[in-house]
Amino acid sequence: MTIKRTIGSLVVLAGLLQIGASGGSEQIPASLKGSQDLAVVINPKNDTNDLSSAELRQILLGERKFWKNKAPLTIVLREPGSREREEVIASLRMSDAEFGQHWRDRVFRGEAAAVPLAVPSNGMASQVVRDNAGGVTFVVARNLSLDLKVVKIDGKLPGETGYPLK
Amino acid sequence: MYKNLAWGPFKTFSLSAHLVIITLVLLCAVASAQQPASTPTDAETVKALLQRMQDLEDQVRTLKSQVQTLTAAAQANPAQASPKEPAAGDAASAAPVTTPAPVTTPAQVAEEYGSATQAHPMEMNTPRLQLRGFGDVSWNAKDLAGSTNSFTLGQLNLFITSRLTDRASFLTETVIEADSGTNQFGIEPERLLFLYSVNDHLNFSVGRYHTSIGFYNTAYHHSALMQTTMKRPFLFQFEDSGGILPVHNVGVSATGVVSSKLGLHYVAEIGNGRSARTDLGNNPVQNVTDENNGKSFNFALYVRPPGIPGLQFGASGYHDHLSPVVLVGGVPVITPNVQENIISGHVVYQTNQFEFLNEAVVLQHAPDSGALANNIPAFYSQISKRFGNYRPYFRYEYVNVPARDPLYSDVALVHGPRAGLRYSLSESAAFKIEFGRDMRRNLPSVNLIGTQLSFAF
Repeated sequence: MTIKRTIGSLVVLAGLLQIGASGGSEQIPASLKGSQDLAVVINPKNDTNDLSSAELRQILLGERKFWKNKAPLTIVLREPGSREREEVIASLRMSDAEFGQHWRDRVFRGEAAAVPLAVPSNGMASQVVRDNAGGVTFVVARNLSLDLKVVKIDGKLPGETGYPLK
Repeated sequence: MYKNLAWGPFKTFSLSAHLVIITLVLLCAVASAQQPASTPTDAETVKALLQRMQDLEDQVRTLKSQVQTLTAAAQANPAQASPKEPAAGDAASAAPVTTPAPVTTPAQVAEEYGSATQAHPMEMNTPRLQLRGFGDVSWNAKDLAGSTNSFTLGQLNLFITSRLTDRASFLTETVIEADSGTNQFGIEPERLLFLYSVNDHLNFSVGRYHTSIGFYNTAYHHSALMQTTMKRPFLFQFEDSGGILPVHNVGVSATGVVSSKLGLHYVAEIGNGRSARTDLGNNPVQNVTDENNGKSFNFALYVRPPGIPGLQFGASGYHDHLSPVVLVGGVPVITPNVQENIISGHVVYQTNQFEFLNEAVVLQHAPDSGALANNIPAFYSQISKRFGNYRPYFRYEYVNVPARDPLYSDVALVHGPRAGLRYSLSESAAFKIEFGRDMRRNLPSVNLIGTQLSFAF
């Protein structure tokens, strides 16, 4: 019995290793592995592949509320104090307080229904994007989920020279 | 015997052989699986995985501590841990007033430990009310004969939004405010809107809104904290405070982006318009009944160039018919309708550090009787710069109503400067001190001083 169980475990382990090895090599580009850059992550059903820096800025500031496929945008950020949030907001040349004020003003003016969602973990951010066709979030490239889609910014992926979200 | 001789040794050999063969097969499988990755990136992959493991362990530690906190909270207050379920019949009415429940579900955890104003991701499609309040208290004095210096309760503004779906939302600003003449409090929904977004080019809103004339009226609403100065420019003063513009309107509005590359936006509005200022003491905002069948139309275009963050310029045109009623010997008498046309233009530059607001309006009243039309020119220019928590500001404003204007001749000519200092106590509170001088036609000038504490909660 013990032998059978050992063999069974080995078979399962081998299977997992096989799946893990093949799955990873197919879905994550080599340049993303180990990259510290922030990846712009969207729902895999979203047909957007590329955004310009200007478009990304419009999205983050709420001036653009829909994707090209008409899906309403849902911005998901990490909570204040996290590296991902700080870097995304710094790319707008704003402080977190200024970013918050900007969004509160938009809500006050009726230009936005709510401030961007803030969640405590990358896992939760990824889950929201997974559940929302229009979701977009920002994750350090090495922490990417395999089932989400990474958008190029100015034609570049994280880890490539000239990628703007360093 | 045959079985023993033949099967016994074979059985022993077979077990070992099986193990060896299976182990070899597994090793081959593992080896083949790893083969494509056996590149110079192996070390990086291992490093990345280790780092990820470390991150996950950190997250587990955080979650464990949160669970312990929640468990302790639930044990400390067992009464809340088992809320009674409402009877089926009372479910709808009981829902908004439930006893606070312990933080046990993922939604509650997200609420507690995520963002205080955000729904849990799983609740994103559930309507969720968000309430924010604004208030202010001032002290004002002026050297006008007969006036007294007074502490003044400003507007208590309850600002509520609710995201109904990913395209629809609700917004309301309910203001509780005391009348300066009677000191009696009144309550009024200053804005009440159902908003629906079709796409970036078409957004509808229905209800009571701030008319898109110029910049100030749609940038600043009923919160003293949000604006730099103590008070709005007289040009954009609210109707019930003597303002001459139709600041509020009830109707339908459409807004959207014309060109995102240029940053060109449009606003088109149709509504009841404001009523003529009369002796009857009616609310100037026609919330329920329009005084005539003519509707007000407003169309505005403005540009926010993407390359120059903070810059906005634009123009708008507004048209309505007003039906003034005057009291003659105590009897209301309807006078000929007056066409009201308003043209406005603005150029503003506003960043977190610096603001320069410039707006000009020409309001025209043309009686249908054929009498001469009257033009009311007005403008203001405001500049301020932030130095840490301090923001000194200066504004000059001008409104000139001709004496023969059928509606607002009592306003006459008013112009003068405002200078002040705003000190931000925090993101949610500010203290302001302001000096001003109102110069008036054929009347002595009035000097003003005021202080104000404005806050959000």
